[in-house]
Amino acid sequence: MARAMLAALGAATLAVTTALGPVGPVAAKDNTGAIVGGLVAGAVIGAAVASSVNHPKDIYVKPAPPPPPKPDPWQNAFSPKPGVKCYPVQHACYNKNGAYNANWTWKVYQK
Amino acid sequence: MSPAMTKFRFTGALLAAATAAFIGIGAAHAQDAAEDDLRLDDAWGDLVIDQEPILTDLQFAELNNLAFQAAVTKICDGFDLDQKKFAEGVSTATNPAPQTADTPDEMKQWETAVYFRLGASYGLFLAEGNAHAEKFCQSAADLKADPEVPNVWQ
Repeated sequence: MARAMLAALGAATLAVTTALGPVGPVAAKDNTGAIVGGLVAGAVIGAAVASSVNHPKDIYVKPAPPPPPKPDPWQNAFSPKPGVKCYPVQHACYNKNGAYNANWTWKVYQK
Repeated sequence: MSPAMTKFRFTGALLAAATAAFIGIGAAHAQDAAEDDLRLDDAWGDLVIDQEPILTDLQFAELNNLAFQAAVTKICDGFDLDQKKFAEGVSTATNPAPQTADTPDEMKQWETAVYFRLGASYGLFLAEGNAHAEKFCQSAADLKADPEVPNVWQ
C-alpha cells in the first residue's frame, strides 16, 4: 500500500511539473493545454490511489485440504454363506436385509 | 457353580438398570446411522470401534446374542426371557475375567465396562428392531427354530 501511494505521488508531481514547465523567467506562452493534461493525469492517479485504499485488508490464505476419510471399519467384513455378512469389529453377523443374525453370530464366533 | 461364576451372576434388577440407562444412547445414535439397510452401521461403529479388549471375541459375540434376545422380548410377540438361562448366559459370557483385573477396584471397573457394553448393545438392537420389526422378528424366529443354537428364551 505505501509503495503504491508513493508511486502515485511521484507520478502526480511529475505530471504537475510537466504541466507548469521549467521554473524561471521565460517568455510567456500559452500553457493551458499542458495544465489541463496535468490535471487529468493527476485525477487518474488520484483515482488509482483511492482505489488502492479500498482494497480488502485481509490476506487470502489457501485453506487446508480436508482430512483424508477415515478408514472403513467394516472393510474386513466377510460372508460365511451367501446372504449373510459378518463384521469382526462388531463380533456380529447380519442377514443381507440388515437384520441381526444370531444363528450365524453363534456359529462363527462361538463354535 | 464356582465362586467366580457366582461373583459375576447378573441379577435381573442390575440388568434392567444397566440397559435402561443406555437405551437413550442407542436411540440417539440410531438417527445418525446410514439407511442402507436395517443395520445401524454408524451407531455400531461409535460403540465398538476403539473398544478396549475387555472381553474375548467369543465373549463379545455371546454378549451380542444376549442383548439381541433381550431386545426381541420387547419388540416381538411370543418371546419371553428365561431369567435363569439369561443369568447363566451373562455369567458364561463374562468368564473368565481378564487377567489384568487383579484388585477389587479393577474388577469393579471391568464389570461396569461389561454392563455398559451390554446395555449399549441392547439399546442398539432395540433401535434396529423397532425400525424394521418384521425382519428383526423373523430373524428371532429363525434363532428359536434352530436346535443347534442355544437361546435364553422360555
